[in-house]
Amino acid sequence: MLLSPTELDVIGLTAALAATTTLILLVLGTPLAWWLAHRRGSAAAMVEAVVALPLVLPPTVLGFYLLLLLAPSTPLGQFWEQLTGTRLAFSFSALVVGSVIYSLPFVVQPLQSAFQNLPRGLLQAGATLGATRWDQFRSLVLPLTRRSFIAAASLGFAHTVGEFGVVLMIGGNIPGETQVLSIALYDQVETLRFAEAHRLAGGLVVFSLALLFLIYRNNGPAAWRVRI
Amino acid sequence: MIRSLTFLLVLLVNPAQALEPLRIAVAANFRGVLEQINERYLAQSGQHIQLSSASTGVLANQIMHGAPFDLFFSADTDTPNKLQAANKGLSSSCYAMGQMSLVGGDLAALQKPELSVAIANPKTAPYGRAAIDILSLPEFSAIDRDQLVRGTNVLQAFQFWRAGAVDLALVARSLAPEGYPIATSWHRPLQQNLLVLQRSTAVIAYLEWLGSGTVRQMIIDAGYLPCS
Repeated sequence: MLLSPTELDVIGLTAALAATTTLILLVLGTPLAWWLAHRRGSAAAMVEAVVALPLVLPPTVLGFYLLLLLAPSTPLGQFWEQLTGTRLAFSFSALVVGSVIYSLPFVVQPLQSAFQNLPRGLLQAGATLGATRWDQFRSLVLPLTRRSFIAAASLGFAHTVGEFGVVLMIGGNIPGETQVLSIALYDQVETLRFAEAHRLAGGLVVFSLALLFLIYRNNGPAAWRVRI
Repeated sequence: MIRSLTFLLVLLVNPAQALEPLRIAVAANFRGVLEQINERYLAQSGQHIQLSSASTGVLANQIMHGAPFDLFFSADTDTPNKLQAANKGLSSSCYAMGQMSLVGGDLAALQKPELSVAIANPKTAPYGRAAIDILSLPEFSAIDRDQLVRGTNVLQAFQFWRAGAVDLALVARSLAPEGYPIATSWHRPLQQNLLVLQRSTAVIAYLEWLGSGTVRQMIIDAGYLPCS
């Protein structure tokens, strides 16, 4: 086997973090993107700006505020401890919270533009034929925007795998809990173990390239547009 | 505009003002006191100094790959030795002996497994290895070593505690003079060596200043022991 058990652990943890984050983002991001696609005005613009913030802010800003927010002494930290009996700071759950915020725009934005490009008449036609909102979503919206959902999920997943700054600041480098790929790689480079570093770094390049290639090939030039 | 041009001209012509800044790499634990030392030096000699601080491992890696530093204040002796073996340094000598402090509680607190403890990453930071030595003592066997929160360097471990994200932290005494002092016999000696990377008149003058009684006292006041 090319990879050591520790490296496999690290990859497993990273995949689990990215998968959990993507799942949560799809559940939260879909209604949010729908709302943003159909509202105009200052409130919507404000929400849109907040969603886009992680694109422009350095991860250190997010990491700094999350570090303070997730501490055991804060209301959120205490609420979590009462709810689960475990600490939130420096846990896998803390990384999920950070990653959901960090990768939010990568899921919401493709979905939002897909929803905006849906033909309006179609849903109205569906409604006049007696389709409930859930029917409309399941048999009209979902099939029409399937590609965008795949793109959004893949980008959210890939971006979470690629996360570094936030994890460095709120993770605490705990093996099996918060030591994800990018952090393990950082450790290896720091300790001059370049052979191991090449394995992880090279593997990550190949994986990311393959994933992006698949996204772009599936979508063609009209990346997030709906095809009818 | 004209005034700033004149100023620039004066700077260029006046040799006393035209000193090249010294570039110094410093391990995170020593940064605070070195800033004070350099401030005094600037006042008496006019010599400007640029400080870069990170963990010893990160800085060594940068030096290995050609980072243009004049001096390197390491937190250990191994790293300067390795750099010297790779022809990246001219001479290495002790400048301080580090000590450890426990912040957030006393030794009784360190025996409680439910309290979270932050340390510097033992893979890369000498203070992290010293912290592991302490936690390996039979008194502290209740602590799950896998659950330790690891900062990239001793400053980050201290910062995790300051942010309220962990209960306790084992850090350099220079960072936390008010913390609970830990006997130096409990961990491997924290001899810190200075590596000379380039020899110039400015470097020689600076080294002379470092050897002075004033500086030695400043180093001791900052929580270090003199080199034996």
